[in-house]
Amino acid sequence: MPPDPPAASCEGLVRIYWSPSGEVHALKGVDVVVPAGRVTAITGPSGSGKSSLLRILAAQDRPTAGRAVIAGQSLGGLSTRGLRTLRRRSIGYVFARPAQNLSPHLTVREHLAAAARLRGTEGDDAAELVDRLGLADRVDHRPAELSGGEQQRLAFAQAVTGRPALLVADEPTSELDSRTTADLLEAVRGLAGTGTTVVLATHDPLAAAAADRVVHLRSGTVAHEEVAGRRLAVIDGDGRIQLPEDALARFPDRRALLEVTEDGVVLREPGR
Amino acid sequence: MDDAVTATATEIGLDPPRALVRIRDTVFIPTPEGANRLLLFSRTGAEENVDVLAGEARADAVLVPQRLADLKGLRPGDVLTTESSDGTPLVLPIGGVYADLPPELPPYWAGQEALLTQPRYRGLDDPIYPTAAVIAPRSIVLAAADEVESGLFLEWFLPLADGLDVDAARAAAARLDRFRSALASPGGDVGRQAAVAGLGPPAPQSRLPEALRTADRTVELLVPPVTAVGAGGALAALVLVGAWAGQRVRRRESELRALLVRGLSPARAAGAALREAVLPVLGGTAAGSAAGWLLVRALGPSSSLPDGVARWAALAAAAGALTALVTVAAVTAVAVGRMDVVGRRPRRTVPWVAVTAGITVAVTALVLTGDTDDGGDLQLLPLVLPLLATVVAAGALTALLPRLGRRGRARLGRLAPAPFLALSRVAAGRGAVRLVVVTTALALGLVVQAGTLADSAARTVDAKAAVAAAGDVVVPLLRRVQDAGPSPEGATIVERATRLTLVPQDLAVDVLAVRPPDPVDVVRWDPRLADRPLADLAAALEDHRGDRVPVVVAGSVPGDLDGDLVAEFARVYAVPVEVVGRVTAFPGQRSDVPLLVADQDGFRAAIEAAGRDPETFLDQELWARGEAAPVLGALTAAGWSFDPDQVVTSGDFAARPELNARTWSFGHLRGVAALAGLLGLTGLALQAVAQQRRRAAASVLLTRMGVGAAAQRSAAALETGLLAGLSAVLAVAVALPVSALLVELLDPVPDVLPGPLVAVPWGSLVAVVAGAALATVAGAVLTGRAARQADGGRVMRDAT
Repeated sequence: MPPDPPAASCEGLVRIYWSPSGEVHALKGVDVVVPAGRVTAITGPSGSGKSSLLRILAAQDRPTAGRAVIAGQSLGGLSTRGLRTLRRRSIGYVFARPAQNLSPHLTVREHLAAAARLRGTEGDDAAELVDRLGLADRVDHRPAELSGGEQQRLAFAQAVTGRPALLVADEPTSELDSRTTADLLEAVRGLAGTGTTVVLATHDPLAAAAADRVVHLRSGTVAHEEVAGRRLAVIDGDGRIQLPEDALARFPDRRALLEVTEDGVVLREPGR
Repeated sequence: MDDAVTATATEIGLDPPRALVRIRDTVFIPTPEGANRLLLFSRTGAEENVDVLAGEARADAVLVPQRLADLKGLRPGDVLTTESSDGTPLVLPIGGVYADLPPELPPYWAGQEALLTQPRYRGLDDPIYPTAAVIAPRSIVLAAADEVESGLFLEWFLPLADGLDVDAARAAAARLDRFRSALASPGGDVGRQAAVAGLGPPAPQSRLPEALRTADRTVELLVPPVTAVGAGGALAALVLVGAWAGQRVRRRESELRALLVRGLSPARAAGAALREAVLPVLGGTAAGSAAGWLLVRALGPSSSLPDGVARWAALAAAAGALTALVTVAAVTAVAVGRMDVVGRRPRRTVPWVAVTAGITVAVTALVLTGDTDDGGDLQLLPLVLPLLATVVAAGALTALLPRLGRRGRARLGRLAPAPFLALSRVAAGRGAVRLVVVTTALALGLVVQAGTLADSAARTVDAKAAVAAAGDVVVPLLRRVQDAGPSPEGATIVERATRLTLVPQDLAVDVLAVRPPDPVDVVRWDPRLADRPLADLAAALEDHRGDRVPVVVAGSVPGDLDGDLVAEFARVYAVPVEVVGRVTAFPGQRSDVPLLVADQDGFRAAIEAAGRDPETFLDQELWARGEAAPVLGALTAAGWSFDPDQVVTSGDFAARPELNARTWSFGHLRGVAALAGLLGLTGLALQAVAQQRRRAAASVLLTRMGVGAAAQRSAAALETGLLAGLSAVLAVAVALPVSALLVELLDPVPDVLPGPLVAVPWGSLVAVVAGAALATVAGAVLTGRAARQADGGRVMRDAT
């Protein structure tokens, strides 16, 4: 049985911004694969390109160069309207601040109904979502009457209404305490369990630990990935490999001896 | 013939005319106070329109006025006996005595002043040859005419209904035309009877066609400026609607961005904005239409709208509402679309101050170098020029504010918290400050502009009226009447000569010969016409000693007037003159041709010295104070001859269509400006509240840092006051001088001196200052309330 196609894949992504002081290279050839039905976390220090990658994964931006395929559609060939349609049909998005995601004058029920209307569905999954996310007894409350965790759970609920192919969340736990974070991550895991693909940009070790895969960015490139507790280096289509920082520190001349053995590939320092 | 005329009028649909039959020849009746002129007449309904004090109206007797009855000791049942100029006796039985009518005749007696008003004459305390209007049945008048062998004066008066609107007046004028044709028809009853009597057919006269022509001309002149003001107002309203729509997008930016990342399209966002705007737009359209309708009814030009106007007005209002909705949708779609721009270079912001400055320069060039042969019509471009200049100045100043703020940062730091906060916020010159200052200055600039143009126009019209109509009544006299009586009290007779040449300048001039002391008490002198009082000018003419005729030069004369000046009339006569004064214009100056105001005796003597008769070359006219009717009655009684159609009153000038149109146009502009000012200041106060809400978190933090609530409220009030004050100062400093420049281009009657005069609109300036103060107070109250209502805990939770 062939593996499921990824929910999103990026190859050689480059994103350059223009500012009054000159060009800013936010992404410098990023290769990322987001497997379907899993939780993927994107981590990295500020300025590493997390937000840029996230915006491309959320079809809010196009790469300057490279290839990004989201929910089966290549962003390069899409117009602004096409991007909008892709977002509406296939992508859910959650901002970091709960208040950013919600309208103060709508109740929980109305939020889900409005989200379904926007996505063009009937909203049949609303009851299931409020149950799954622990909002069943809060359906007639407005955001001001919800706690921060409840607000963020509501944001996730409206983002996954209509079963989008990809749910993208930008630092969703950054403004929550650890208990509330744990509750939220449990809810997110539950969503992934139903087949929803989740991508989180996060600084939060708790959130990263809850992910099936962690993509660590550094200076606009993928430093490494972690899958099932194992750290993986990333090799691009041209054979370039991105070493983790501690490994890179062992090659100050930026040159390495390469040995291919039966057990694998070994890099050695040239002087040894 | 009377019956035939009445029948003809009735057939055409006119009301039955009021027929007047009067003995043509003058019959005098002796009284203890001298002879009275007996005016025996019959008029339809006359008996019912006087107050009969004694006796009653009868078919076989006359009604005499109370004054005559008192003088002669007459009572009902007596007989009034007199005789014609050839000695034929006339005996009239008296049926009653009626009260003398007041000087202001009731509407029924309109036009009959010659019968009923007593003229007064200069130098005499009592009337001479006072009239005694004796009301008689028609049969008695006809019989009396036969007895004294006098002709009859017949007149039929066709009254129009009160409150006639233009459409009804046109219908009445059309019926009058048909009536005129019917009377002139040789085959008609009236024509046949007139032919039998050896008379020409009656020729109806009506001022209705002239009044309609004036109304049409007024409307014709009114349409372009009102359209221009309306278009400008509509444009400004759409800008405000667009600004509101843009502000709505900014206010909901967070919510819209959340929706954009979920695939909201600009069209869908525009649809939502449009749905939200429907009710306010419909309400605003209904309220505006009702207000406009009521204002037009209350303040004019007409208390009733002609047929079809309501339909067009409704269509215009509907089109306006639709355009407003489309504007809301379009602005929202564009603003949301700009938020949704992905993967492109950021767009450069449009340097709108520079762009507006460029447009202002172009408009200025067009206005200053454009066609000026449009009679000073009010066009759109001149109207927008002060507004453009205000916007540019406000934009430039607010752009400089951050720089000024940086320079003054050290000084700001030494201020108390409230002024520090207020000045820092204003000096930051952020988008909100710029928007508020520019829009408020624009609104207040419109108020200043409207006030400047309207007040200057009123001042100009006053000055021109003083020149165009020298006195309250100006009567050109047709011919010399050697045995004419004295001129009426409070009047002066001046003489004119036109098309003279002033040498050596070879300058075409007119001459107005006056008796120096007389005009001082007669003319309506505007002190702005000269740098000294009229009495001084008159004294300069009167007290001059020398061989030359003293003259005051009125109007624009190129160069100096030195040397031996001579006023020549086509080599017929030459009058050596000496200039004793100069004025911008002089009452009675009919055109922009320079006028020499000369001493009458000296000028006449100079003409006689040239061997010519002054009577041949000088036209006379009478200038008088007061109402026209008594003056004309007195002139008629005294035997002066004049053409009533040539009589000019001060009211005639002010009633010229050009001036009426200009008055209404500026009234309209003032209305639009007042509304704009109100909206601008309301927007300022509401913006202050919105700012307070946006700064809720900062306010809580300031409180925690020890800045008291009072200081914060003072800061908000001071900030609003600074913005209002800055806007008001900009509006006055820019719109006032630019509007004053425009006044020069907006002369409604350029052929009458003086040229346009600028008036400082003190009323509008006071309104601007008061409005700015009121908006500041309102803003302070509203921001204080908003601050008190904010829940600090919730504010901080939402802010994090």
